[in-house]
Amino acid sequence: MRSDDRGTPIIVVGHKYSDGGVFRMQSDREEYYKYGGWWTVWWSGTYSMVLTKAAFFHRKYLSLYTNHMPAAIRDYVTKNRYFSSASFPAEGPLARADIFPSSLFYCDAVTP
Amino acid sequence: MFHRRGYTILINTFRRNDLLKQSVEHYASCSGVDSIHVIWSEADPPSDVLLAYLRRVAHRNSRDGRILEMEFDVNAEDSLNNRFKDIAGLKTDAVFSVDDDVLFPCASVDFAFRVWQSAPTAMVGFVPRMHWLYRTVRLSFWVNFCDNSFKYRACTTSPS
Repeated sequence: MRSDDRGTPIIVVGHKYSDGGVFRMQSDREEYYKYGGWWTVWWSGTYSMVLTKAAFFHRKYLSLYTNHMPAAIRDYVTKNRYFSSASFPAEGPLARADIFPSSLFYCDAVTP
Repeated sequence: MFHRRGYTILINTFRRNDLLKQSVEHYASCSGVDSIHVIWSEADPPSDVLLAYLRRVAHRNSRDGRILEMEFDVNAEDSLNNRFKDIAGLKTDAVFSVDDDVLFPCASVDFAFRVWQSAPTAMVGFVPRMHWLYRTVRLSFWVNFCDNSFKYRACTTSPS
């Protein structure tokens, strides 16, 4: 109501008004994991997995990988030539957190 | 089946015979190695020259009267899955899977082997990676100003 409107005692008169949605806010939240290179380990001092590029594991892993892992994962690895490290069992009797022993090593080629 | 102490080395190689020779020569000298398996995924089988060279390396690294075992696991298909293909008759529980382009000092490999022995259901590796959780929040807002005539639809009752 404008200040010069007078003579209308049957309506509510106030100081705060709303236009029914004059202000709207929307948030889009997105969460995802990003794969870090070696420097992220060096920087943070933590790691979430070790690569099979150079790793010890029990020979039973080979049987699990070949005979028990879903074929779709093996097909994905063959097709994309990628992510064989992440294909190792995350459940079951051989699923334990990876261990990283620090060492110097010599690399003759760069592998992505 | 009786399983020997020590570890089996699986060397994954592809069209890099020079690196393969270097890798086999190096790891054959490590005291904890029981046998070496070369994962071969090329269309052509390994040449006689290469086989003869690697056999000489195995003979040179005989210990306790036993020649170091050297096996080629030849695969018809070129697939990254080959490196984890089940191998019948492995003599050791411990397997060290390594690409042909990385050389770790024997002392480091033996150290990792001892770590693995303390946790044989875990994977013990030299190349760690970190996954970061990324959270993005995109806020968008807009104010729908009343037009210049100061129109409004409701009036709140506090204070009034």
